[in-house]
Amino acid sequence: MRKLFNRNRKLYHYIILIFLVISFNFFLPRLLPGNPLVNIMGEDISLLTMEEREAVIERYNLNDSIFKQYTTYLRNLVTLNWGTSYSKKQPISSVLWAAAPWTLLLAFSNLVISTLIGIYLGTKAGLKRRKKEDVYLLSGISFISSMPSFWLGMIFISVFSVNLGWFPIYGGYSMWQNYTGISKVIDVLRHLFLPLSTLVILSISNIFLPMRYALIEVMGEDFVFMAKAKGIPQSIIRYKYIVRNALLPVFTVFMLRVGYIFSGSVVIETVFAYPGLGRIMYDAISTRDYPLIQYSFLLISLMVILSNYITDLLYPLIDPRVVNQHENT
Amino acid sequence: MEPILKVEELKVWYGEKCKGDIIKGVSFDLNLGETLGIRGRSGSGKSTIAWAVMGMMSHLKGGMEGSILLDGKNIGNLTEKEYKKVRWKEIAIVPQAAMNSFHPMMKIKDSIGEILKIHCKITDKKQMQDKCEELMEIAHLDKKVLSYYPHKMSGGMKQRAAIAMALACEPKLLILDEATTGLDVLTEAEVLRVVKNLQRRNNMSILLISHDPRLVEVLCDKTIYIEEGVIVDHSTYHEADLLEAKAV
Repeated sequence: MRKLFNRNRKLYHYIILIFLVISFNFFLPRLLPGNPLVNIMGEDISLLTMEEREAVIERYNLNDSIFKQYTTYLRNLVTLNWGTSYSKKQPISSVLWAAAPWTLLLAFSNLVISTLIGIYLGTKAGLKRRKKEDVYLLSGISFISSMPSFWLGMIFISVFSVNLGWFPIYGGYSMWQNYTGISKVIDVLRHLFLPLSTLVILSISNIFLPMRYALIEVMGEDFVFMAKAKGIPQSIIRYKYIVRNALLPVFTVFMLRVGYIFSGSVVIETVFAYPGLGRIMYDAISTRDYPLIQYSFLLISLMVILSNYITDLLYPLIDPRVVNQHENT
Repeated sequence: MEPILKVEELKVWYGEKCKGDIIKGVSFDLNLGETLGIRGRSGSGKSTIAWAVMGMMSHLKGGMEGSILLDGKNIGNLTEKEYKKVRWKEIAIVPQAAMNSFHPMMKIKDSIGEILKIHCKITDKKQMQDKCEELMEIAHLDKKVLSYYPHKMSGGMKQRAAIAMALACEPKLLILDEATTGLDVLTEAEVLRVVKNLQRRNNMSILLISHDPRLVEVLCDKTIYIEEGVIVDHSTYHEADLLEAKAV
């Protein structure tokens, strides 16, 4: 029994964490000062009659005890009955599910492309430390990553959409065209290109820098020097000894970024009016649509926890030393 | 008899040559099946000689002058590509930091297998497994150690695994650079017994670098004592040892 508990200890920790996050999501809005109706209805509250206010209180079970409200909240959470967004006038779950695929398309493509480019350039710079190539890459990427994302996005829109007319200015697809099949795919990709390019350019440093530093550190390890003394070919030392070991901290950074996949592109989605979760959140915050904000944040928190759990599961597969530590605890 | 290793006027430096030599014209030779002890205090340049013989000075951002004849052939002026054919096949080393010299994510079997594949051209899995098991037996290690990752092994086990790895290609010359430092007395004795047996079995020559005069006395046929990069003595016990013994 104890063995079973030890083996699944991490899973239990995560289950407790999820429960706490879900509970915080319920209790925090209730700790806000003022009338809860304002939090639910926003500025529209002043326009409501007494009867309408009563109806809202009834609908959100605000007259029930906190415990009853909490159990109702848990039941609704599981059944995806998350209430209505008053700014969108639609069920919250529908709003979020409609936006999630767009964010996934944008953020996941960015994650994959920027990670691959970051690893490639980080390896190139790290292996040529302090040489011309390294200096150019390090200073160039540091300069680019310091640009504000909204500014770069606007420059791209101005140059490639407005002046050159190569790409659409906004949105995730052409709303007034009825494209189907391959034309639809091309249309979506054309809309994706500029926000994705902006995100990729700004995200490369997230992987480039840890990859470069890890590589430089690994290159100084005794086992790399010994590999040279053993007469192992340079290409094997480079990839099997140096790059493979340098990828460990990069994997951690990668998985942290997976956790923020739903929230990492708020600014870019807003600048390009991309119909993803980032834009939904921006709209929800600017219209004080509290129920929508509440569930958006819950989704982000759950995604962070899930990605951390997956990292914990995958890490022993890529670094056997972690298995041992886990077994020892 | 032609010595297996003949070092003549070896000068070694780190960084720029003009900053001064660490080894200032050292000469010695070593016959087949013999053991030469190199002694000296910390920082005297003992390990530097070992790495110079291994042709690793360019990797340590240094350089060398003089000749190093291995079996009559000057290996001191080989290019990096040519030296790769000599390393591990003809000269192998068990370094001071043997414990950290394994790839942390490779099992011992894979680390030894890699050497066998690259230098001995053994690709057959069965043949490789047999050779690995033979090496484990020679190093007095259990066969199951082959499936261990380095972090699961004790210091003594790693040291013996490093010796097994050094012997994978049956080199003519084995360099033991403080190979038993950090081990307890019993493990040290066990490791040295293994090495001595192997020397007899393979008629291998050994360059034993140690600061411990007792070790050198027991294991070596001749000794050189290095001080500030120069050979100052050829006896097992140097003045410094006698002074140290008196002080104790």
